[in-house]
Amino acid sequence: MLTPRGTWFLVVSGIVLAVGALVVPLYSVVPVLLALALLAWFAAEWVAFQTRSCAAVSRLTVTRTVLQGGREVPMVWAGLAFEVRVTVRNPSTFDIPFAVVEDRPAVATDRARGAGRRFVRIPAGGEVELTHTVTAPSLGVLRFEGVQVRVADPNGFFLRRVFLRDPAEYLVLPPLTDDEGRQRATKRFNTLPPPGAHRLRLPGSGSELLDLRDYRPGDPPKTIAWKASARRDRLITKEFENDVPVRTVLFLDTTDGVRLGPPGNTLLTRMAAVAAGVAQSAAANRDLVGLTTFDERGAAGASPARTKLHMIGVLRRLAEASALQPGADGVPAEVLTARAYPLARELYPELMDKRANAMPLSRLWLPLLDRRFGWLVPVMVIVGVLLFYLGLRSLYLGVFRPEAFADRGAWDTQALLGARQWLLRALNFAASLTPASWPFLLKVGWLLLMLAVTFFPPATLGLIFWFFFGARGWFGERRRELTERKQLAALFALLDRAGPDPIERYVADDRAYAARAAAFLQQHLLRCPVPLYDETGRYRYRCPGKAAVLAGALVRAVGRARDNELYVVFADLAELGPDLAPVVRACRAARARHHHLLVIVPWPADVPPPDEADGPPVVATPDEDDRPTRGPRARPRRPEGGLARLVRESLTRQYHEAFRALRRELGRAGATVMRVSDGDPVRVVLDRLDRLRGLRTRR
Amino acid sequence: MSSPTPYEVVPDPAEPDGPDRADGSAELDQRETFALLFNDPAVRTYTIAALAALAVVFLVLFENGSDLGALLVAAVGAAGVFLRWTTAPGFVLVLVTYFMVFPLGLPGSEFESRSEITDGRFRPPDLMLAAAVVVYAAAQFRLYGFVRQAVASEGSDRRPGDPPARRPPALVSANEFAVLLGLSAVAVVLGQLVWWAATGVEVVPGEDWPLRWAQDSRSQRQAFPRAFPGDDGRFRDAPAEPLPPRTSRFVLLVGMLFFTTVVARLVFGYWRLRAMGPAEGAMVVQDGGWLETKRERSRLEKWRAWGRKRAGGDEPGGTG
Repeated sequence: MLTPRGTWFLVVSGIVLAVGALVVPLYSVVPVLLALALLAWFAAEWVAFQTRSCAAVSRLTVTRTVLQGGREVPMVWAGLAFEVRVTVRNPSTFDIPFAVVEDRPAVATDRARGAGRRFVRIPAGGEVELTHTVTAPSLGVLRFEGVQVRVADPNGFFLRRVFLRDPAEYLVLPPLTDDEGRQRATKRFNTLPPPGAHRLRLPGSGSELLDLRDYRPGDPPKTIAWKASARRDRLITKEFENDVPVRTVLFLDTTDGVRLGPPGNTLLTRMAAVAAGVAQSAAANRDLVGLTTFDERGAAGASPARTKLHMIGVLRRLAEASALQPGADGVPAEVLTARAYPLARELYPELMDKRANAMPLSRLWLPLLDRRFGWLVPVMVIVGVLLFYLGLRSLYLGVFRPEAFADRGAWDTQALLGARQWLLRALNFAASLTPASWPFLLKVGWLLLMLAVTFFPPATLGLIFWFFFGARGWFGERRRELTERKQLAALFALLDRAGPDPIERYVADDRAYAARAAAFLQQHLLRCPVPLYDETGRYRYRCPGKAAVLAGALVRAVGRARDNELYVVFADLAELGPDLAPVVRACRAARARHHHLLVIVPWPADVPPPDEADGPPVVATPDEDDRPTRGPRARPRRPEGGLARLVRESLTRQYHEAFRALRRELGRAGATVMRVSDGDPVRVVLDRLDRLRGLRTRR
Repeated sequence: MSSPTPYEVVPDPAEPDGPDRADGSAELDQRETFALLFNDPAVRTYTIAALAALAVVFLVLFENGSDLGALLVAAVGAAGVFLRWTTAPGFVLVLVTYFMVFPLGLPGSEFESRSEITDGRFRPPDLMLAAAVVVYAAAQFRLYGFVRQAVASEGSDRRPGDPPARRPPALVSANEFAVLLGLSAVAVVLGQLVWWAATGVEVVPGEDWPLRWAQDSRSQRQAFPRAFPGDDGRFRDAPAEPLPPRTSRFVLLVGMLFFTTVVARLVFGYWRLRAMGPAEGAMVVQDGGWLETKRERSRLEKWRAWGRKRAGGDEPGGTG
């Protein structure tokens, strides 16, 4: 590709060559010699660059390795730095003297060390390595698309960009807590309970004394506390703790409503992080942990188990759930194109190049006959030809009447002379409209046009209108939009291996195109702005259907339960209102079987908590978001005022009311509701869980 | 002064201060630019080469009687080197052209010579001047790549906040400058040869082979001014008239440019096809199939939309 610098150099040298060769050679031949020498040098650089481009750049390959803790890993842990090592090989016999190798960063990662970009010489048959250290702050899925290589000549005249695609996805698991290493410092026991043994309030066959009570007939004699019986003069029985494992089942809401937000900072990601902490805490207590994920369509889960493999599986499921993206229903096709086109050009430069994925002018032509009024043009053409014929006929038969002449021959001669005279007048008229100073070819074309206008006025005007109507498609916004959409459609068809069939479908059908473009964006983990409200102003992501699904999952868990089960529901239920009824019924059923129920609601980041002092809310405009909060460039954020403040306060109040109603409803059913704000660490949740479990665990 | 511990990183005294030699992502200010231009060995070579080439241009222009032009060219060229003007080579070329035609700097000072074209081949001052301009242009562009930007941004693909991509001096190979000098010499000779061909050959449209040496044509016209008998005794026509010299030069230069470009495009186009990957090849084939059937497919989609609308559904909408 010729760069602007190369283009300007070529233009200036070409002008000097033309002037030197044609205008001033009799005064001095030096300009033309200079221009020819410069152009020869330019051509030599072009040949060298093209040779390298075809022989070496087209054959580059890439391999990627991800290392954590010094060894290659198939998945990484959130919050822990890992090293990405990319190797670009040049198997050709030509070296590449200057290239910029850049590893495309994965979404939602922070670069810890290394720039991810290197300026290198790639030797023939050799390789270069690019190493950088990255951190994934939140769990989910990392997708590395590949490496971008930009090759330029030393003068900056030419540039070729290739993208070495090497898509690789890595799960980001929540940090694995060490069972012994992450214990609280104030622990009261130095020994672990035996596997599966868990002390609970309910009396059982354990070894630890729980309580004393009056003897009831049927109690085994060995449980009689003889000293206490003697002291009280009646039989007293000892009750022992129950040693059974607590089965913890986590229910995670994965509906579209909790997937909204920037990558790595959605409600779903936060809930999954807390769920991972709860799961590992339970596993540290030798409890069995299960996981059920649900959305509006159904639920899928893993039964409680205790093995390490099962825990890894749970963490994998949580990571996969965190990477889910909201559906793109209702997103306009233009918005999707605006997101997908730059991505496609970046990742598939050779497939989006016009040499392989062209948009011909004929496809951009605006078809006139698609419009109802367009049919006037063919009518005008036919009418024009008819008028010409009728005009000639009337001239022949009407003006020169046969009966006015003595014989037929004289009439014929006179009529022909008249027609000839008329034609000559028309020709003279057309010639008078043609400027004599124009070049010959232009003059002939213009004369023909004037003749056409003279002889077939309606038809010519219709054809001119048809031309200008159709040619409008070659310019303007429609051209850009249609070209981008066709190129994307061709790319989608190629990726789907569907041949050319769907291309026109995607161009003509907004719905099919939007679905495919959204799938393309989701495949590459790129989010597109989704409309939060529908045409009637209702919130589109309330997802009322999830209540029934969650209730069904709870009831199924209760049906499969043994005893001492703990259900932890991570779900955004605050705005369900009356649709919450199935969940309330399911909670009652669970409590009726003496199971514990904890509902954890993720608190939206932009809504102040109920117990927070209600200061003036502030809002950041989009351009302020990137400003530092400290330092010389920092600007105080302006407080909201007027209508926006009123609306925000109203919405906040409404959300608080909804949350209070939720807590009241579920509290009546026996469930404990707690909210997790953005900054709440998992430890806070675990402490609350401990309190909920009656401080019966060893912690 | 305490001796350095084994863990201290002691800077190499031979290493110049300034940006990393292997990293081109740092933007340089004027002070760092000067430091790079004169302290880095690889960059210094190009700086000296550019200034030396400007000195040669100055001398040749001065010798030609255009002292003002010599000064102007040297000033613009030096400013381009030191102030990172990427347009400086263009200005230098235009100034040299101007002052070679108008040595005193004013129209009217030109000197017309009918023999300039024929005598102006392979003159040593012209060769020196052309070589100096080529070396200066190459050095200037490469220096700009070292100190400002070597990799152009791709229009709409440019992301805001992208750091510049300079060419790190560490990537300069040992023989790069020698190759540049050799290439410049070849380019100068090639330019002279092209000019010699363009002025030594004339286009004769009436002939079977429409090119012939201008010298032969002149001698034929002088020997046979009108017509002459052949071996068989019949009179033959005089040689066909060639195109006027200016038109002939134009046709020849455009023809050489055209055919050279066509051959180069064919060679590299075919090479590119050979180097094409499977995905790109599949895209070319798919696009060809679409191009041949796009009218029919477009019509089908219009009927589909019409059918859906007629069936009571909404219109699918689209950009086509």
